[in-house]
Amino acid sequence: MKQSKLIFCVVLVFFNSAIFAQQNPELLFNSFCSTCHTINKGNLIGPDLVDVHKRRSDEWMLNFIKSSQTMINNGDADAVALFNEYNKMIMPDAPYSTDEIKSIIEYVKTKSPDYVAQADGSKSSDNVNTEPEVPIRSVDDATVSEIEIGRMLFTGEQRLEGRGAACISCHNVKNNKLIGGGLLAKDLTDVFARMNEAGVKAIVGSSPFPAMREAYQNAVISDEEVYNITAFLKYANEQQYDQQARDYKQYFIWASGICFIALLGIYSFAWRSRRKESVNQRIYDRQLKSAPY
Amino acid sequence: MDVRSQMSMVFHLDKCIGCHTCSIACKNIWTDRKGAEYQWWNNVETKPGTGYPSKWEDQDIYKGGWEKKNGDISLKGAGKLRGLMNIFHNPHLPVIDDYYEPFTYKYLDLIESPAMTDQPTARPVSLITGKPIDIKSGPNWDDDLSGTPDYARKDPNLLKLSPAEQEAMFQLERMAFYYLPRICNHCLNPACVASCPSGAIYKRGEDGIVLINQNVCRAWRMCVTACPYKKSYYNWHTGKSEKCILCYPRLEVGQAPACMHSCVGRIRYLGVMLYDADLIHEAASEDENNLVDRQLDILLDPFDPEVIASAKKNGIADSTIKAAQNSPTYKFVKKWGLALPLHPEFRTLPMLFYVPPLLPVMASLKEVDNKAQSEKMDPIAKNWNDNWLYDTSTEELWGTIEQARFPLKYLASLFSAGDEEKVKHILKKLMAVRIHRRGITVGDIDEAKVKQAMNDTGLTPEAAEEIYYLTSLAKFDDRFVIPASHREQSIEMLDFTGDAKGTTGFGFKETPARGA
Repeated sequence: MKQSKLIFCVVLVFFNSAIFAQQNPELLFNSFCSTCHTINKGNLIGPDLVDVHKRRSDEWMLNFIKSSQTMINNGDADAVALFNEYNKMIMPDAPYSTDEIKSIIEYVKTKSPDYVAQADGSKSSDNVNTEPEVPIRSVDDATVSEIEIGRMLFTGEQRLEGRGAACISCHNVKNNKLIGGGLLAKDLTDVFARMNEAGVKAIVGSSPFPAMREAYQNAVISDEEVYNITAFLKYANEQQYDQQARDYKQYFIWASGICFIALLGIYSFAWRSRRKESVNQRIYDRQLKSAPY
Repeated sequence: MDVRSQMSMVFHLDKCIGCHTCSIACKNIWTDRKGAEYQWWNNVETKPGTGYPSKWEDQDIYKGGWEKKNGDISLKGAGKLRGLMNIFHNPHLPVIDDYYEPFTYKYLDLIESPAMTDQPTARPVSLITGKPIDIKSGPNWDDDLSGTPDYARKDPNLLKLSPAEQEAMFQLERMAFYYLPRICNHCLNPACVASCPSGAIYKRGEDGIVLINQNVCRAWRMCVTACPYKKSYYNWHTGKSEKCILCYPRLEVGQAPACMHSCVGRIRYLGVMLYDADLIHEAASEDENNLVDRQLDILLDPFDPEVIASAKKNGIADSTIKAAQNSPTYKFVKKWGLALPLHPEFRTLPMLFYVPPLLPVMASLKEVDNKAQSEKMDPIAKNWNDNWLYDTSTEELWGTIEQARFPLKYLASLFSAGDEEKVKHILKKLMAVRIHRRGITVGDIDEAKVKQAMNDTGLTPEAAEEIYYLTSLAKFDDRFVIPASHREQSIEMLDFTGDAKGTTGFGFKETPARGA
């Protein structure tokens, strides 16, 4: 009885969320697209999507959102041009169904100034007014201590508030203050140069990349942490040419070899009085004429 | 007084002929299995010899048994702290070559060999690897190579003898050996039980048999190290340790253990002894020269009303008390004082006792002028008419014991922690019984001499007759006094036997059940 109740609850939650997600293109947009794209707020990592429907056909957009790399590899001229224009940043494939993507495209259309003006001019202006612009602090103003906190968050010396994995688990940054980081994801030494401040902040805050998205799904990185980490990445980018590239790989091999030998030494000392051979080994050695099989 | 009962054993070494029937009976029943091929829960060793496993008596090598430190005893090689430190690598374990690598022969090669100019041979193959091997050793290698410098002369017990004494033992005319059959001693203070980190080993309350619970054993092998007699074996196939179970399934139905049942020389005796469990710790912590006496002290007189009352209070059945009164082991060990434990200095209080072998000098050598003697030789009968060289006469009553072929020191090292007087006293008693019987059956011994022998040893003619009877004439039921084990009572502690009534034998093929 208890079990069936539980199953019912679980099914209900799943069902609800599915419906909810399907009926909310805004939510879909915010959770996946908005990391790199804005509507009428300028280019981030990807282009501003305002009036995109005037530049591209719906079908083209659908295919590009589904899998941009497939289009680029197939040699679609517009897609290749766009890819080159935006630093060859790969746009991840959207994890949405065709219907959902269509609803997002529709949603973007409704946000174009023409459409807004046409639908309800007064209301939209109200909307703009009710959203007070929070002054965004640039990482250029970051203090030394904030950069230091960013470094500690990056290396995991200070735990992320959301209990997520430290950046260093997957990423490397060439910096003297760090030991070598993970090689699972991109090297972030010059990420600040490749993407601007807004791009880095956006990706750290809510990543569009599937692996990172999955990893931080339940471990939200707070705005303050995003700021600190971004500040550190900026610092790392600026400092990168002064840093000595430390090759830990060799070192680790040697260190492990030395530790291994030291351990063997400790063990053979601790068990120095152990029995090393059979009581009669000497007799056998003398008596056995044939080679051991 | 905390009276408990213990199945104890006596092996009469004078009667052992070293036929290994006991070992084979045991192997056939219990250890003829994969992983147990090398195990001989019962083995027969030749003394002097290194034994099985090689030099098991040398605890500097194997670190078995207890040692006395600051007035108390602790395990020598597998105590709590040392056991924990060595739990993942036990440094004193015997290796397979210390026992021997078990082997069989490719007998089929003899039959299936093609026609050749040579006879086919059956090659030995290892029972562990299945590959051909050179046989290096066997379960009683001493027997086959007795007297070689490699084995007999490396007997750890010889260390206590002076080089001259050792040399004397191996002189051709004095050379002697005897057999030492060994099974688990089912000790009162078992080191294996104390060493087990898993708590898998226990001493059965009702009869003192020491067993390893195969479901609880976690193969730490501390018991293998801890047992100074090396009677706990590791089965490499099942990953559990195993040991002699004193054939408890046979005991429970009133049969003697297989090794005892099959014994050709009838050297083995089995019976109940009552002991005081409160005194175990005290006795095991005693000084070495008092160890044997203190161990014998905790064995109680089953006729003492106080002991009987205490035993009954502890739930010991009347049948067990009666068996203790008839016990042949009680007679040998306590009543006549003829048997001693093997290596009491290991402090495990073993409950297997040995009647030491009487190995008198049959004759003594004289140095004489050979030329003069050879003239005395009968030219036809080719023998001498006097005892010129090989003198078998005994003038002195106990002279032969003093100059026994085995120095008393050697036997004392085995059976009394070095106390020669104890062994000597027993040998004298054994000799007195022989003198007494010879006086009766042959009548060539002077009555005064018989009397003197009796007085010296404190034996009465009646006691001598009793000893003679139990040694030479005893029937099956005299040698093995096995009380009912009352399993029906123990099962009633756990289950309601009424539920199982009528479920065996004639009856339903499939028991009808409600609702089925």
